[in-house]
Amino acid sequence: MKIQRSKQLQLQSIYYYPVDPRMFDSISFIYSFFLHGFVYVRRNGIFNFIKKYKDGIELEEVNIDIDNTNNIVYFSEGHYGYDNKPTTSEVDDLFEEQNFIELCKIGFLDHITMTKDNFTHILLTWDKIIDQQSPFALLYQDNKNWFDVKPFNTQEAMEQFVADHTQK
Amino acid sequence: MMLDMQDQLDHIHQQQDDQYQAGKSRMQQRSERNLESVKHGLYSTLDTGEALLTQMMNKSVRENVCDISEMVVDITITDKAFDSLLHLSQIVGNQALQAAESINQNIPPSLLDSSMSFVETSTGELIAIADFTGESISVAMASQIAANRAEQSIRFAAKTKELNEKINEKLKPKKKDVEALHKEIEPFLSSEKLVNVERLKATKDIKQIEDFRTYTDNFKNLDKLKPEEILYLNLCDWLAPQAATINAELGVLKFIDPATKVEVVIKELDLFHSLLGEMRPGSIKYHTSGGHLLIPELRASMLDFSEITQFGEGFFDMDIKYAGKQSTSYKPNTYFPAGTSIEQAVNIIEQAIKNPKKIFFETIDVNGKTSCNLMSQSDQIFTLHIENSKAKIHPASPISGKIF
Repeated sequence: MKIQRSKQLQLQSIYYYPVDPRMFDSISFIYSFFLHGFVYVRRNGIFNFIKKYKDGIELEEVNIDIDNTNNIVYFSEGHYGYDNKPTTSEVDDLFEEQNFIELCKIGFLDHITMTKDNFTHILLTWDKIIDQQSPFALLYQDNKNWFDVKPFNTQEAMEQFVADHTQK
Repeated sequence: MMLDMQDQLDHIHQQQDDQYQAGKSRMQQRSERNLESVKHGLYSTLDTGEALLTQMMNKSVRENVCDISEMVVDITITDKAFDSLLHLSQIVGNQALQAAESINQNIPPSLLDSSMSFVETSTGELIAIADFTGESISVAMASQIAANRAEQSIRFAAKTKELNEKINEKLKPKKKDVEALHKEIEPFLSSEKLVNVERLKATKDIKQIEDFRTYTDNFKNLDKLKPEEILYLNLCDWLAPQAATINAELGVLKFIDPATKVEVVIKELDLFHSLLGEMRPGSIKYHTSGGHLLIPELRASMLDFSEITQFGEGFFDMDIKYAGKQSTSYKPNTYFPAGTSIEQAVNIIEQAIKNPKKIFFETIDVNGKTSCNLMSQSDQIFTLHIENSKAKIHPASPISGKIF
């Protein structure tokens, strides 16, 4: 397994925040959903959440949109990200339709995608990590485009894992 | 004889124009017009009708309707002295008065200050025509517009009632606070007309208002506005002076990320986004963004709502979605406790920023934006998004699974 990209997280008080908040990659949209949207996963229960929000969920910070035909989940920037971006009439029309998937496809919205199976997996894994309250957690995407989260007891162990699984 | 009549009519018109220019009161003009009528007593129905229409040119509908009413009233007075005026009051008076009054009752408020002319159609119907756009309003059309507005108002009121009942049942808010907030905003709760167009014109440099300024050509083309947009602008008008005072007194708020030592500076709060929410003219695209102060009338005009979940000290989540969009999923949105005033909301925010229990950074200076969570002394989390020292803030649901 090789890591394509990752985000290192640290438990602060009762929740996880980035070790270095100055670093940003589109994988951060997944973390942003953990931070701002996971409360709704916990409130509903994971499988009820998936059922209730079968087409996705819109938050101020991040949008989740689910292409149920192709089984793809889109994590894209929320209102705070795109608010000041210049638009075209095509973009405006897509916003009126709330067609965030197409806005991702045409490149207007910065985003990242994963399969629906992967989405379910990462919700279940993150749920366990929150309960475990491990001091660190690594969110990463591997060379097979699979996203995962892994808990660590020390930052050194987390960094070593990244080093061991990064293509030289 | 015809020449004499024309001379006298010209004389009357000239005198009326002079009076307008001299700024005489309408009462003075009426008195003098009556005097002239009594003196000359030479109106003929057709000539006077033409004179009336000529006089209407280049005046607003409001002025025209007023003039028609006055002319008929005045002519009725002079009719008592001169039988020749009876015909005029029947032809011009009864028809025009009734039609003009009907239009006056029902015409879109946005057209009242437009430059309009009244003309009579070949079928004898009186219509008002906007000089600039050529848009015409007949009695029937004005009535339809009024009916549509009334229907919209009834729908808004029903949704507001439904939302209030939901809130009361689920949250049991402090009745006194809810009533106080409602009393404060009540004068601005119209979705039919802008409360003070001149004040909106004079309110500058607020993004949420500027978009509407462009859209309406500096609030001239108000007929383009939808009812919910009128309501939103009225509430912007309500918030603007308070937001200006709050931001002027805010000073510079700073806090430092302990890990990176980066200093974050806030000089202004975007209260329009945070409290009222976003609305773009002619669009629904940002209707669910911001708006964390509960104003049931505004929410009901823009959105459908579903579940309500309380957390913290009266804060709550409400699932919202774009009104009329059946396929769109509900979006959870957080709110200050029902009945929270602007002052109370700002005080809560300021206390959280100035004296936080903890600060957690999500991003620092990524594309010029910083996002963080503040935990207040009462353990309420607030999410801040700061760009160019301007902060958008919203209360956040508890983020730890341990709380559930």
